[in-house]
Amino acid sequence: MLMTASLLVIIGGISVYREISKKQTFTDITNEVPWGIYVVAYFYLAGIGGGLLLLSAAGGLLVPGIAGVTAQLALGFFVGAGFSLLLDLGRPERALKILYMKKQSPMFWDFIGLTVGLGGAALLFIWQPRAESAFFARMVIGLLSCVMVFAAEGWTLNLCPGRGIWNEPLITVVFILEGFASALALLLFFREGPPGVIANGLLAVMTAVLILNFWQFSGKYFLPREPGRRNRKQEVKGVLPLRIAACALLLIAGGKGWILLAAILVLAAGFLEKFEQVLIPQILMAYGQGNEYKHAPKYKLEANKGLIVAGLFGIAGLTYEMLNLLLPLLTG
Amino acid sequence: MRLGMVIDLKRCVGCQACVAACKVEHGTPEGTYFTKVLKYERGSYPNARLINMPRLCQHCAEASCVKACPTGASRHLENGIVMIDHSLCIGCRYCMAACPYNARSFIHNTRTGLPGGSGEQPAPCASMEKGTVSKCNFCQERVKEGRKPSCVETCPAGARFFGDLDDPHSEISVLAGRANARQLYPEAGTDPKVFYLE
Repeated sequence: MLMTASLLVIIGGISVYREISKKQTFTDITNEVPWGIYVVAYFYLAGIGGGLLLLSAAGGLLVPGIAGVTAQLALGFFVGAGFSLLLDLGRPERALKILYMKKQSPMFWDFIGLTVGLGGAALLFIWQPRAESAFFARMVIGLLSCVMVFAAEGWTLNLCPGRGIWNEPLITVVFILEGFASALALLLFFREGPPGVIANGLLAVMTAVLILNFWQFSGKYFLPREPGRRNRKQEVKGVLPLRIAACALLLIAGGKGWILLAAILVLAAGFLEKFEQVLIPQILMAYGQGNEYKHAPKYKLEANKGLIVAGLFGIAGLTYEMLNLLLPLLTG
Repeated sequence: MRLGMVIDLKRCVGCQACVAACKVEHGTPEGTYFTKVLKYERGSYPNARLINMPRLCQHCAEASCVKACPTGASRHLENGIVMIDHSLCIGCRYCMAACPYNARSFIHNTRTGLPGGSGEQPAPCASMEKGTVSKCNFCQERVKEGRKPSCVETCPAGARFFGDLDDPHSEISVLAGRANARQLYPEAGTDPKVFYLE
């Protein structure tokens, strides 16, 4: 993994350099679509980080030995999420101005959520006592950090009066469950032996996510329409088939290879969901403003930016590997 | 004082003179317009109508962009104008996401396309910083001098009116109080200070 992560970081670094040298940073941003692929990557990486925190705190009771690896992975993902936020800033050198403590801004709480998540993951990674009484304290730390991460994400997506399509509080619950499912799927790649309880847990969580996705998809047909606004339609068309396939594989297939394929589908669906529920709602616009434009607003995904996002995943992996090296030093 | 604007849609002929005047006044970068005139059809044949809809920052009293800004770069002035302090802007674009009117632009290059730069290069934009967000400021500098915004002065059809909404005797207050005056997307709860006469 060290080699792959390093390669991704190098590719991402070269892509960033290319963008800066050709002055092509933020060419995907328009008045109508202000947030692009880096914000999608932030929601995905921070979401998995939050799910891993939950798994590290609560999952340790169910599956012994996963508390350490999940906290370590969570740290990696939060570091990746932090870099995605920095990349998304027009003036990253001024990032610390967020500390002006303007508490009504969701961006401030995104920063706090990420910091608390990072701190919680670091604490759970370093502090792994054997005493059973410590499980409760770990659970509280993990749960609180996880709630902070997702509450900040949820608020950001509920921020916009102009994008009423986002005003769907259910999205926070979907993201928590989706983060937890992605964390379970990821864990399957990091554990030796039969998937057993983790695969069963993944199936249970995915079923819940699917039910919520179906609600989001069908809700447009019977939710009351708010005056002057679009229906509260959520874009989950691409996610549904992937998730149904993953659930079917988990339910029917027995071999570890099939379960790992299901895990890949779960992770892919997680990224697609962030794309569909963060990016597309911006394009749809709440008050039908799109009708006023000759051409409907579009988001143009550039290949180079895709490579930079791959680099963000590389940063997450590289952080995980670096922590492997640090672990003996920290634990003596 | 609460500065605002009234735009008479019946008078607007869609000539884009306001767009050009604004572009020259602010020297905005290529592809960035602080005011636009959108043209779209309303209704269907045989009752279809072409609408010229001038759009600009609505300088909302309950501006969602001001609330969303994490650094305080977006703020209200005493006269009600919503301003951006470019030295504080970190380019997070939360304000753009929060604005229902798509009135804000992200400055990813400062090349204006207007003459005046060194050699054969076009002039760079002097008033905006790369990597920050910018928008209409009701021509704050002109207003300080007691003049009207450049789009209002330029409009050949006299479709734009500018003044103090708090003064009950001002022309703009009377126009904004008319039955056919409406705000854009009032359901967003932002209380815009730009009114459209239909």
